[in-house]
Amino acid sequence: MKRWMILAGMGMALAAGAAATVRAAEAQPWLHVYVTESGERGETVRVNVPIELVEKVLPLVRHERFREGKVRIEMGDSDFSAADLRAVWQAVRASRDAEYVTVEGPDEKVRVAKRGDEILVLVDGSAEKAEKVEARIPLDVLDALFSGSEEELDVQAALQVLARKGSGDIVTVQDGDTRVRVWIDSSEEGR
Amino acid sequence: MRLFSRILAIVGALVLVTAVSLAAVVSYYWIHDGTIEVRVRPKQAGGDDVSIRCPAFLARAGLALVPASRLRLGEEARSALSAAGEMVSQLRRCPDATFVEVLSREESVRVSKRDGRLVIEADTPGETVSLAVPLATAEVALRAIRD
Repeated sequence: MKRWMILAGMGMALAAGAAATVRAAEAQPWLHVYVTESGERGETVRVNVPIELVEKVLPLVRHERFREGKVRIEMGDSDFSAADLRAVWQAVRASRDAEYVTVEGPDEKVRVAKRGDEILVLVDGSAEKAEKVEARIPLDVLDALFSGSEEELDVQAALQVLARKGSGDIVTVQDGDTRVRVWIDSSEEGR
Repeated sequence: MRLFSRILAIVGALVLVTAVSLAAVVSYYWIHDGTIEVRVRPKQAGGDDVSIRCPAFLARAGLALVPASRLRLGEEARSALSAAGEMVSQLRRCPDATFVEVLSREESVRVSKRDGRLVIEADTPGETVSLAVPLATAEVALRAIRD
């Protein structure tokens, strides 16, 4: 009887361990980038990567202005400096919900707004230029992005915050025949 | 004659034990490290059908034999190899999945992980190509080249 109880206990412990492992695997966030072209060529590109992988690899990537998970901002000859960009962000961050940028051109209408805990970037094309962009960037992701030194954007920190946010669309673009979707969820193949 | 038979038996036994041990070691590494597979299948008649299956431990052994002076790398290459090595190490911990898929009407390319191997498959109008490399071998190889 005692032996059976020990065996049953071990079985339950193993089952609980296995369930915890499965939950941990399920909970791992994946970054998905899908580009679908419904035109003549009919190309589809699907990229699925675990965010943990990106987080670990990013600090090791060194390419031009990108180092240790941070990108160095260079404004060139522009009067607008990286410090100005940071100041604009701080001002927007501290302000109430509103539409901050509206550009109405002949080809498209661009709107940048703060709504709740997100910054929305919306681009609407004209009848001739069928383009629609919708980007939703959580405020704390932008906070993390601007958390580096004066002249840097901390991509690594932004990604870490994004990973903690859980599932959801980040960017969707519809440009003519091409559709781009960038999102995070816990599935390997994307949903 | 009797002594000669005994010596012969001892030598025979030694050879047998050595052969069995060698086979066991090779089998262990073969199973443990897996195989590197390259397959090229032509779609038109007359094309070359290529199929290579190489035990991954041979690739490791081959790398160990390359003189270090031949593998001297620049700072940029070492940095790229570090990133690639970390990526492979992370991929080993991932569940099986398709990481990159590019599909068009005529061609397709797929990069995935299956049973501990990185599998790259390409399907073109002329041929289908598939390459499978055990991730453990890729990690060791990248580390060896970098260090």
